[in-house]
Amino acid sequence: MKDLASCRVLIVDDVKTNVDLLVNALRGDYQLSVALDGESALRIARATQPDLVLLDIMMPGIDGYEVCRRLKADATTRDTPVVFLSALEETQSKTRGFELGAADYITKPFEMLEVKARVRALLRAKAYQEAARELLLSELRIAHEIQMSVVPHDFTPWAADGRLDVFARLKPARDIGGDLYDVFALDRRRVAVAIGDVSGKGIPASLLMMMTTTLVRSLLRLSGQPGTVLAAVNEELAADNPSCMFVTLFCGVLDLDTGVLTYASGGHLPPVHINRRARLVEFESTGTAVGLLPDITFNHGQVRLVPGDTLLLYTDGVTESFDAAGTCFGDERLLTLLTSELPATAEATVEAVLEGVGRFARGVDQADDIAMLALRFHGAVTAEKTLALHATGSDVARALDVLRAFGVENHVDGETIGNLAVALDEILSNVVRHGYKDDPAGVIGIALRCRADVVTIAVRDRAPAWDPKAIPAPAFDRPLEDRPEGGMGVPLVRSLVDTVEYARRGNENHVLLTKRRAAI
Amino acid sequence: MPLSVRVDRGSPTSGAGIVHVTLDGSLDSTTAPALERELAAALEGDVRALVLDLQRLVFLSSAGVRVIAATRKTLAARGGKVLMINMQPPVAKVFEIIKALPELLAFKDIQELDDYLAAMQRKVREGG
Repeated sequence: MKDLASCRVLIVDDVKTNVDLLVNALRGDYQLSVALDGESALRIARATQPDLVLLDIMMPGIDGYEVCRRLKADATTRDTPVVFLSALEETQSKTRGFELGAADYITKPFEMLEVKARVRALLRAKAYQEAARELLLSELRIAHEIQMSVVPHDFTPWAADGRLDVFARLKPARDIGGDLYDVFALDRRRVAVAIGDVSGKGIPASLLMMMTTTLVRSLLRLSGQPGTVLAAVNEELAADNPSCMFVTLFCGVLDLDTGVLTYASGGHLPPVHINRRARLVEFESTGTAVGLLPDITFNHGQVRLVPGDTLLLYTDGVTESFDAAGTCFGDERLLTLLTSELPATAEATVEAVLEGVGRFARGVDQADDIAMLALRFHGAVTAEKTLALHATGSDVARALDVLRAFGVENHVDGETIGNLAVALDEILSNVVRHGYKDDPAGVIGIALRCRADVVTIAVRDRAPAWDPKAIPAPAFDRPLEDRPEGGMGVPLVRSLVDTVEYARRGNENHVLLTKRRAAI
Repeated sequence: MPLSVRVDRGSPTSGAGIVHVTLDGSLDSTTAPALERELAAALEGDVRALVLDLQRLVFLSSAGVRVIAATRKTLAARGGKVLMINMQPPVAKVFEIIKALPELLAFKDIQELDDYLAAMQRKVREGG
């Protein structure tokens, strides 16, 4: 708690003798500032942020009432207690002072002991209040970290696996919230997904969110049956629920071999299902919200994802974002945003929606929690070609030729292969020149893979570690000859392909390039 | 994919001090060093302009952009220019991403280049 001796008291009075009296009495206990009129009082208050203001009422220029009104209107001085010191004894004057937000009103001539006692009591109350607020804020910060840690954030294993592109974001309106998502592998073939929204916001909602997330994850691991999981979660939550809180919850299990998503929905918004031509696929959704009534059964639904399909699971914080005029973002805007130009990756999908909502709300504070989970289904590898190279120019040229032939064999459109070839040349020439320093003994492994909707190139080498993402954006605005040597290649790669993933595994660098191919 | 380079000092466009170079194939990290040597040899003497015909250039990566940028610098030091014609879309895309085009003069075709050169010569005559 703040030491009272370090508190600053601002004394405002146009009569010098009053000021002297107060300064003498308080000098030993606090830091002091003095103002002899209203305007300078406001200026000093803004500059020094006092902990308390002793304020005379009748002064030339703006009077004490007006000073108080302006202090209370300014966010930086709003919480500073104001004590009026005045010869005006009428109840009306006092009442007016309190109505303007004063903490106390002392009439002149005053007893100095009483002034000191009141100042001390107010400063102590303010210090307590601040300490309590800081404690709460610090606990909320920690709670925020704990809440964030229960939902998955690392989606790189999915990128390495290649069958499913995954990205999710949780964005509570306050420090903590009631939205949740989850995505994890049940086994080699099946992926469990969930999204939910607890009624209400803040601490109560976040407690139920933690409980629901944990329950859903354990139960999905146990049964793998979304409807059964929802029924079991419902029993747990409805059993003892005096405050009638509930969760809208969507659970699904996706079979990566067949693309079939088996799901159950407890009153949650149906996901947006978009095919690779950015057309919307109708989504049935059934069931009541979870936790309100016992003994509810939840039906299973099924949809089939075709490679290239995107599924966006989201909470109503997205569609119920408001702009300054009170207009709601709404389903239509969400669908238009996603179907006008389907983002290339799961991450780009989530970011595009967040960006769209932010642009729509334009500075209006986010009112509700937001959760989004995007899945882009790539399915199985349809063609694969691996080759081993040495770090020489002729082997790099050979790799580009193999890539072009691979594209022709698998009917990949020329533009996709052309872009991938430039990207591959950049990556390989970097490895040869900067990684292996042109040592032909250096080895490089390449795997070219086709899936129905994407082509990927995996490159691995044993040169020293480097991270394409750590290379700064080049000075594209500078004349060509002033640009740092070798800085152009990696940004070019990023522009030409949809994703660039880098990982250091053991003594190997792994780079994975993914590019969406044109629909056949 | 290889790169073939044809250097022509006596083509129809070539006035005094103009070298016409036709690129065919792939200008990538493997083929760029050889082009750099050929261009250096071609630009010896009082060459003031290099016309690069990219009609048949199907592939360009940043190694190639570097060679062209270096050539531009060499020529600029003696008041000369690199002039590119017949650029194909995949190659143009690379130039666009790297934002190299404002400094490199690109023309749709030989007609547009001739008009440009004629205008330049007029300007020099009138100025002199």
